[in-house]
Amino acid sequence: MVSTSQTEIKAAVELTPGGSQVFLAIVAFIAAACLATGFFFLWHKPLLSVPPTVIGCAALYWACRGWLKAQHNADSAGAIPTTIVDRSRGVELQTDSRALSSAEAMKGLGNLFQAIGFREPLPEPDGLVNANGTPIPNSKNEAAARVARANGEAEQIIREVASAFCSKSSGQAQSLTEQQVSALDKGWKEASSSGRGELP
Amino acid sequence: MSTNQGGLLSGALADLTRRPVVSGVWYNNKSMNIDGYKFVQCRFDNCQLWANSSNFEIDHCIIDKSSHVYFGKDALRLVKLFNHSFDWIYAAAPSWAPVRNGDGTISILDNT
Repeated sequence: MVSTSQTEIKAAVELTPGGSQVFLAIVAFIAAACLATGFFFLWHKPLLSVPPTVIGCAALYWACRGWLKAQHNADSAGAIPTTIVDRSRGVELQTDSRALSSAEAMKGLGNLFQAIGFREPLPEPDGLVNANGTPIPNSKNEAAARVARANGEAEQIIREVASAFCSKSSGQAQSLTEQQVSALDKGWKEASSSGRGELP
Repeated sequence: MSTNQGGLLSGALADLTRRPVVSGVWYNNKSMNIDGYKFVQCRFDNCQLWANSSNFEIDHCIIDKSSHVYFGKDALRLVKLFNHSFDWIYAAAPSWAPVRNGDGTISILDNT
């Protein structure tokens, strides 16, 4: 009696490069082809093996160098977003985790927090001034319009921030945007009705 | 993130960190927070101006002598650091100076 056992192993391996990785894959293929050619001639005609071997080594070097540079960012693609929260100001931002490796981007995020975190609505002005700095009589309405425009733009910036950084998780994107906007808006409106303004 | 991608993100963030501009406006006897705005040719008489950060611009404005400027905790730390070498300020205006410790060192901490 002969017992037979068959084991079937299936593995799904995806080797399809994407984006800039395609170029690296091509360079790596060229390197392999040149080295294979060089090794073939090494056996039969050693002198002819030098050019393809040199080209293959150079291509392999550049392929490795390019892969090392791109590896971190390519592997980070699709990672869980990084959430940065400042609950005291009701601000929550979500960004790609790759932003953490860019000092420039982190500085920009810091500036963004500072910009929207400390800004409050401007109080009603008392008028306009001319080029010499002298107040212009009966100009309160026009001054109020200018300040209202600035306050409106500040409020618009809050909405743009909420829109730019809202969560992309399925089924929650829309409601999260509304929550973020209403939280920031509420903070803005509370600031505009708080104590600052006219001095006693 | 490549340098180019960081630059693109920074460009997008630069637009979100833009400062609304207020020009030619007169404030009299008001208390206000100047963070996040750019004031051009404005005038402040007898006002209380609050600055919590360096995120503001003042361009050809008048702040009269009866107005006062108040600094938030973050901004005040920079003021204290600037004043650390002026011996007179420790007695004359201690709230604008770092804490001078008994061993001759100075401290500028979150809770001071």
